[in-house]
Amino acid sequence: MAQIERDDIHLISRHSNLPASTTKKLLKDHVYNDRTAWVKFLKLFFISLGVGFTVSGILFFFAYNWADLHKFAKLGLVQGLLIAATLTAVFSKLSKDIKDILLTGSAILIGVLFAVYGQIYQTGANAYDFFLGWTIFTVIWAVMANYAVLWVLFILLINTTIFLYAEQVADHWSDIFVMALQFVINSLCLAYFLLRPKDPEVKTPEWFINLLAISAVSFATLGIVNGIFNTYEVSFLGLIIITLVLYGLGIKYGWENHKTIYFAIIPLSIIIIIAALLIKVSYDAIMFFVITLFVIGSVTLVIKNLIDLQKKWKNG
Amino acid sequence: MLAEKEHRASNQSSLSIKILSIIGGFLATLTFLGFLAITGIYDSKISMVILGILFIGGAIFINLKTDHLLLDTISISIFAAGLALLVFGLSEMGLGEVVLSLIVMLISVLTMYSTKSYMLSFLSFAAISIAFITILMTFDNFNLVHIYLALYTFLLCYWCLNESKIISLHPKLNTLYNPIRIGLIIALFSGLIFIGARGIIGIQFNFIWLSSIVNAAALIYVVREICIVLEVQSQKTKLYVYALSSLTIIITFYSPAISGSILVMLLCFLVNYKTGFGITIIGLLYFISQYYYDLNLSLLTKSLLLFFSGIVFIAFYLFTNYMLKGNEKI
Repeated sequence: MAQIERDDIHLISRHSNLPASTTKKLLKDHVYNDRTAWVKFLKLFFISLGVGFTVSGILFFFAYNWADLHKFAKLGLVQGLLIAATLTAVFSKLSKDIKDILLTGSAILIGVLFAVYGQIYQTGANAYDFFLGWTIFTVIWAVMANYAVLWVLFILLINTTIFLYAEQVADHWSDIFVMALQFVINSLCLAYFLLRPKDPEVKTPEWFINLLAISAVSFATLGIVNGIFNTYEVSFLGLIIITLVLYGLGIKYGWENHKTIYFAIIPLSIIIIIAALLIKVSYDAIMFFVITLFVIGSVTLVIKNLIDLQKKWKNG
Repeated sequence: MLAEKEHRASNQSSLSIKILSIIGGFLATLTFLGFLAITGIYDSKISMVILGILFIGGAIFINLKTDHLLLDTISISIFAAGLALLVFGLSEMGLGEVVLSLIVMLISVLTMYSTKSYMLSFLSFAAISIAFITILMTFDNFNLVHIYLALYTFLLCYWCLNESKIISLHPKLNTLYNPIRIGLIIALFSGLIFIGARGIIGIQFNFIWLSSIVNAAALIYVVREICIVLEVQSQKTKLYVYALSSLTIIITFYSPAISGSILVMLLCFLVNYKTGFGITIIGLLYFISQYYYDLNLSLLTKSLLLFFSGIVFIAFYLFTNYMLKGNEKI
C-alpha cells in the first residue's frame, strides 16, 4: 500500500466517524516525526544554534569596537578561533553534518577577520574590497565542505561584491547591466549545481537549487522591467537575448528532468514582463483592466499547465 | 469520498501553485484597483461599497459549488479587491476603525464558513488577524501587541497539538484546518516582526519580556510533548532537559521574537509541517540578524548574551549526543 499522507488522514476523518483517538494514532504513526527524526533534528538544531550564536557573539564583540585590546590580540583571537574551528572540522571524527556547520561558522569568521583587519588599518569595512576578500578566501571552504548552506553564503557574497563594486567603483555601469551580470552569474551557479557529476555521498538539496533558480529569474525580471521603463541601451538588448536563451534552457531542463518549478517561475517572470510592457504602452483605464484580465488568465493557464504536468509525471 | 479522493488527486496543490496563485491574485488586484482609480470610482462612496459587496459575494459564490484550483487566482483577486473597496468606501462614509474592523471580521468569518476554497479561507483568516491588530492599535498603546502575540501563540500551539481532535470534530473544521494553520503561523510571525525588528513601532522595551513569559510557558509545554516522543523516562534526564530549557528561556528573555521562532520551529517539527518549518527558519535567521540593530542593549551585553547562548546550545548538543545515543530507552 502506498504511503499514508496527512491529506489522506484528513480526508478519511472528514467522511467518517473515525474517533479522534484513531486519527491521533494514524497521524502519530504515519505523519509525525518519530524519535529517530527528532534525535537527528535536535543534534543539527543545537549545533547550528550553538556555532551560530557563539560566532555571532564573537562578531558582536568586535563590532563593539573594543578599543582597549591590542590589534595583535584582536587579529590573533579571530585567527585562533578560525584555525580551531577549521582544524576540528578537518581532523576530528565528527559526523559530516556537524563538520559542515563548523566550516560554515569558520567561513563567517573569515569575514570577521577581514572586518577586524579593516577596522584596525582603516581600509573601510563597507567597501566592496572587504566582500571581495571574503568571497575569494571562502572558495576553499565552500568547495571542500560542499555544503548547501555554505554555498548560499558564498553566492550571497558574490552578489554583494558585484552590487557594491557597481555602486562604489564602477559608476558607469547601468542598473540593467548589473542585473544582467547577476542574472548570468546566478544562472551559471545554477547550471554548475545542476550539471556537476552526482556525488553519491552529498546530495544537492532541492531547496538550494530552487533558491538559485528563483534568484536568477528575479534578476532577469528586475533587469528587463527596469529596461522597459528606462531609456534604451545596448546592455538591455543583451539581457533580452541572454534571458531568451537561458529561459529556453530552463524550460528544456525542467521538461527533461520533470521539475515543475521552471514551469512556474519562468512563465511568471514572462507574465510580469508583459504586464510591464502593457503599462509602458498606455496608462489609461482600459489598459489596466486588460492587464487585470491578462494576469488572471495567464496565471490560471500556468497553474492548469502545472497541474497537468504534475499528473503526467506522477503517473508516467 | 472516493470521488473526493479522486478530485483531490487531480487537484493537488503544491506549494508552488499556491504561491503562484497568490502572486497572480495580488498583481491582478493591484491593477484592477488601479483601473477603478482611473475610472474615478473612488469619488463615489456608495458605488465603492456596492461594488465591494458584489465582489465579495461573487468570490464566495464562485467557490460555493467547487473549489477547483483554477479558480484560485480569480477568486483571490475578486475577494481582495472587494474587501479593499468595501473598506475604502465605508471609511469614506465616516465609519471608525473599530466598526470597520468588526465588519471585516464578520465578513471573513462568514466567508470561511461558506467557502470550500483553501485560498479564500486563508485570506479571510489573514483579514481577521489584520482587523484584530487594528482594533488593538486604536488604543494608542503599542504594548497591546503582547496580547495579540499571547493569543496567537496559544492558538497555534492548541491548533498544532490537537490536530486529530479538531479534524474529527466537524467536517467544516476539517477543511479549515490547513488554511488556519498556515494563517496562524503567518499572523504570529507578522506580530513577532513588531517586537523583533524594533523601531517599526514605538514599543516600550521595558515590557518586551511580557511576551517572553507566554513563550516560556508554551516552550515548556512543547518540550514536555517532545520528551514523550523521545521516550525520555528517567527523572534525571527530565531534570536536565528542563534545566537547559529554562536556561534558553532566560537568555532569550529580552528577545521574545527569537524564543517565539524557536517555539514555532519545534512545534512545526513535532507535527512534521514542512512549510511552517521553512518559514520558521527564515524567521529565526531574520530575528537573529535584527538583534544586531537592537539599540536597547549595548553591543557588549549582546555579544556576551549571544556567546553564552551559543555555549548553552553546544551543551545541549553534547547532552543530546550523550543521552540519546542509539535507540535505547532513557
